Amino acid sequence: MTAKKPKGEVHEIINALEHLSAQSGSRADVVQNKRECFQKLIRYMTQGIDMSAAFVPATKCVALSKQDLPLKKMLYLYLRTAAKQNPAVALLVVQTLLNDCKDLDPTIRGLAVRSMCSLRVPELMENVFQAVDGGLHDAQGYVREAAVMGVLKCHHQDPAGVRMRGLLERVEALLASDTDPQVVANCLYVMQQVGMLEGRMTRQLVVSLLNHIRAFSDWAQCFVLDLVAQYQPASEEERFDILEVLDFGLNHANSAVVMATAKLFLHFTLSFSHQHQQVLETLKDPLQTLIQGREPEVVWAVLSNFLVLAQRYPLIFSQLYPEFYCRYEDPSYLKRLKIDVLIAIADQTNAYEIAEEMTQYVKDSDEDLARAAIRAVGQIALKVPDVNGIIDRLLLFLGYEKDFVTAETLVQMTDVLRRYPDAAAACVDSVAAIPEETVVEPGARAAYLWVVGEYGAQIQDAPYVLESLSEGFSDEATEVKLALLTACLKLFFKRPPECRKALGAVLAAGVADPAQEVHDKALLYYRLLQHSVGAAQSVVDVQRPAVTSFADAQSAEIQDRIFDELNTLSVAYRAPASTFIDNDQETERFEHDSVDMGASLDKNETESALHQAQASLLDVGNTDGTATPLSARGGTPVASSSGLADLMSMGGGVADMPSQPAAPPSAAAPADLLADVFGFGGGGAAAAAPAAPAPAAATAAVAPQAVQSSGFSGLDDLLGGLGGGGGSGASAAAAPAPAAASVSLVPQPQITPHEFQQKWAAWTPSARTFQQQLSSSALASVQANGYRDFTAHIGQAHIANFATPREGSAPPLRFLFHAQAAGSSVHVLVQVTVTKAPAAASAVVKSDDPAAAQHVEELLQNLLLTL
Amino acid sequence: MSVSAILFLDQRGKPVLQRDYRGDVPLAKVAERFIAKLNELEETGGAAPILLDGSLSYLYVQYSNLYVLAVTKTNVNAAATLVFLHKLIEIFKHYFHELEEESLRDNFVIAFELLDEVMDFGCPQFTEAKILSEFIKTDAHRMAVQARPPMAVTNAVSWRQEGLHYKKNEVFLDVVESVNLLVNSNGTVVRSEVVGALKMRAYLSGMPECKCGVNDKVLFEAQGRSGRQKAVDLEDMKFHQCVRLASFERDRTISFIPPDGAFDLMTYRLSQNIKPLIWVECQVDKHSRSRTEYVVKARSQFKERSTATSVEILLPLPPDAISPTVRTSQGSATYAPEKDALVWKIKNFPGGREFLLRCKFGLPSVAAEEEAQGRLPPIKVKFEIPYYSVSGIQIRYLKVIERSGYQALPWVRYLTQAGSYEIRMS
Repeated sequence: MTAKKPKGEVHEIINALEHLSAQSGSRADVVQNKRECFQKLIRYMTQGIDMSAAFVPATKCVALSKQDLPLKKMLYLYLRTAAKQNPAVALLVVQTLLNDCKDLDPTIRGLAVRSMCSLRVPELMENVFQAVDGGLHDAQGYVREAAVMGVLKCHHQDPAGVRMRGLLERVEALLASDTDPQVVANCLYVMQQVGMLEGRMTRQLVVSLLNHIRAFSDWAQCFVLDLVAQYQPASEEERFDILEVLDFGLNHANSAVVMATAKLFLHFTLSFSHQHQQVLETLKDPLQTLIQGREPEVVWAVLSNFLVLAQRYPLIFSQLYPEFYCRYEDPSYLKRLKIDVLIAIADQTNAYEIAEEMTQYVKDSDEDLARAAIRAVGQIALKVPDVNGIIDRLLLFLGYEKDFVTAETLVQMTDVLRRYPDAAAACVDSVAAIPEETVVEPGARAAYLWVVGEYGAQIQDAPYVLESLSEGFSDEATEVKLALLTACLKLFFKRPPECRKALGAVLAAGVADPAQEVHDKALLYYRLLQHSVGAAQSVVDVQRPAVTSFADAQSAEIQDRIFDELNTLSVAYRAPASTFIDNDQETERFEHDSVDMGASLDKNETESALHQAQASLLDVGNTDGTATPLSARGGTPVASSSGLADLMSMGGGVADMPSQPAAPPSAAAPADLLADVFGFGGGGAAAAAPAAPAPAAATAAVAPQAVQSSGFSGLDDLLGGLGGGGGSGASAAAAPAPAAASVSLVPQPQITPHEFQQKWAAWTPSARTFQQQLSSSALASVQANGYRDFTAHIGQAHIANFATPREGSAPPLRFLFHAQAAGSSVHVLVQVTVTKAPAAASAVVKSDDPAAAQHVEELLQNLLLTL
Repeated sequence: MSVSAILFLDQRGKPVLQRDYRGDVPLAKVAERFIAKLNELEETGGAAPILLDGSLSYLYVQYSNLYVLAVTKTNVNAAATLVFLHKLIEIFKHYFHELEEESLRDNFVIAFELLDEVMDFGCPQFTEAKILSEFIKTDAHRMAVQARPPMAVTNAVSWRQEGLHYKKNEVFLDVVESVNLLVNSNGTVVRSEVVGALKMRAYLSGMPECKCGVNDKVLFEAQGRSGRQKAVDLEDMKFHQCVRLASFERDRTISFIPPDGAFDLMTYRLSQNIKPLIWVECQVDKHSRSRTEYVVKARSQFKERSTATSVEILLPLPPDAISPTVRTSQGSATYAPEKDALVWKIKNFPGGREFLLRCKFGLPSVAAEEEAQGRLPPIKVKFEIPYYSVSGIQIRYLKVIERSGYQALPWVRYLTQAGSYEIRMS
């Protein structure tokens, strides 16, 4: 976005500057002119124009008006940008800058130190260190503040130089001795940023910080509270002392401090349920006030935190529900969040009132709000057992005769019916009364068809509805086609003569359909019917037990991690930090302008979800024939697989994933269909790849070649293909080549983390490295089962797992292994880094004995090959 | 909190001003990508004050015709960053009077100076406007050779300068209470609460020691005089940093050395149910498909000796209403088509009175589908009741003691006003 400006502008400024620098710096009009000139200069610079040509006159101009602080600031501002564009010129002004660092006025000294550190010109580093060094000794806090931050800036550019000069140690010394709170706060910040505080939050430090906490600025208070939250008090007494000291924070005028205090209180009392309860009670008041705040963005951030609490402790907050009713003026993001909170705290005591309030929103002219309100009523209906009044609400919505309201309500209705089949009597008539052509959205049409297929026996003209729909089969969306196939077959078993025609039409159209999953499903039904109508009925048309619980979109584990990361972005994204923060963040260097930040997270997530789904599909032999609950790991429910061999003989119990909780209810429909076909729950894959129709994605992931080569040759081939996929999965678990003879490893090597670290650092020169390509299935098997399969695989060769990445982390994944040669104290340390793009594993092997290292390296290569 | 950069963007997303703190984000692309992401999410209804774009997080606040945007790559404290942005807006307002694109461009240099002081390398520094004024020397002609260190460093009382002098020592204390109310269409009060603030303006010389007493229920009970005097049960009291919390916790006295000028001494909240001060009922009579009449009753439910002023009742009309005609028993009502509402203004509304409004309007006979209009917005009411505190809070005393022994004049005023005051239409 470099704007094009005639060169004349730049020259004009240079001329004006040169002209001004010739005049006396103390005349008021000259000062004014200089400032105006500089303002212009900076304005152009902000627009992205390269103004480094004006460097010399600009510095000269300022040099002659030494006492003009605003002018000086503008020059520094200019220098920061210009120096980056043209480092050579910066060298010319270094003396001026150094002089300013010794100026009489502390403000100028601070300014000079701060600006020098921001120049980011490698050739200047020596001078910058000099300035920082002087600044750290300065008598004025303002200068020391800038100098302390300067240490961090230097550390980003030249960590070795900082270490050599012992600057970090100086910062540490200042932390203990300085009397200016902001200097202390900056010291803390710097040490935290460079990782010096890990393991150093000693009792002494915590006590001294807490004793002076009121002297810190609001932001420093937040920061200190965050640090102290990581501290483990030695005794219960100490814990309560700290809580007492910090009690003021809950009544602080700054919402950020209140939130930081709340987080600390919650984390400190986590293992003392009684106190935890008390803390939650005391939090009610300040939180209520914050929610009524005037700054919608802040209220949103507070509520995002609150949602985490509300999901954890719905009972405690259930009576606060009117606080979360939407105001008419609330921005829509706030309204959506408030509805989510209301869903979280809905229970028997308040469900009716909340549903009543939602009904008000359904009439709102804001369609998004109205939809959210309908979804809320649906979800509350699923949560609260005493459901009648709430189902009435849904029926009421159908009566509004607004197309989108009807559509959304239908989708919710199917989930409610799956949960409470008894409610069908009340609902089916209303659904049947909906004119089919007013249901437009595919999801809603599929839901509509589900009801017609499931309860068709009670709907008089159901067969005719299906028949008329079957005529327009090819115009429907894939989702609707699949639903139509199932609905026709189900109803066929109930009312064969009336449905024969519709079923014939949809099967014929389905087999000819270009969409793979429609084709497959039609073919499956066709072959099932061909084989035996009774068998088909036992697979498709069975008594379904009610779904007793729908799995939460997030596992308890993920929710716990978000709770740990309370008061950060994690609560805003509703995902743990590892999913959106670069792991390499800390080691990242400056100047990333060219980095492409385009790698979209969603894509990554989908991919990794597919990998997970794939991994567990490969794991076919391990799960038994019954459906297992979806265990949502890493935010992506993993598809559980039932033995494929059982497919044909499978009892009705599994056929339509009856007891299998679906992931988010919206994914239920495709999962349902998938279950019809194969009997394994595709809920995970469906949730992970809502855009790509789930069944296709899952099957393709399992055995791409098989599906392609078998083409349309039918179910047997398809199963064969899947079996092949399963087979290759099984072979992945095959034992590796046994260890070579010369060096043998002890089965259970012993090493302390400290030793590991020390040796790792010491043996760096003798490190052996290699890299190996991984197939995508190998990559998936590394990630499967929380890395346990992978580490066990490596462990077979007596190379013990030392550290694994946190479960659910995105690649690159780093593993540490450790082995020990038998009969000697020879240790071998290994680091394996698995990357996704390109799919590869690179290993670093270190040992004090080259033979042992070589041995382990060979073992490892074999192990990775057989992955 | 590690903020990589702060940007001020105009409505189209073009940067007006930007300050790079850490140099670890491609600043040139950030503005474009932010707007693209925001537009994308707004279409799907997923926009929120924090957006994730690859490894970058955008935290933003919309203010007048600007986006104030913080960019970060780390897992920052979400609430604190957004509070910080609001604080920044407050500081800019303090300096430019009003913050908008134009004033920002006009005060380009001060803006940069401020951005330089409030944050260093992404870590917030001083954000108190009064302290900042020590660093920001906008006065060009002051050739201050006598270098004075910034005050936050030397002074034990960081919020107050030493050596202040006023000819007339005065302190004003306004007790301002806002009533938030939500009434459902069936006339039930869904939510009501009072948010109060003791707003002080202190024009006092030297280092005055102030003490303020209120009829706080907890205090009265502790002193064993409950029942004799009316006391209020204040919830979630928050104090300005100048108030000594220790002494408040010990014996509930509010003692402090005030900052110079205006500040909020204390804020509090009351959530006990209060009778709505002004009750509005709107009866809708549909005489025919195209003719509708509103009969609106507004009743004041406070004591007769008080009077509400500047009462404004906003009655929503359907957007396609035709030629409304209005009659009122008090005040004036005008049709404001841009708001799709009728604005009924009553200058003086004494307690215990009821006023009427009738409004007739037409609707197109070939009406757009009735349901397409959706729910009408709520009736909104604005009012102020001077010399009245709905919570019953009373300032019992306000003492000012200074070493020089001057007599300060304390002025106390009460005001109750409408906050978010909504009554839903049936």
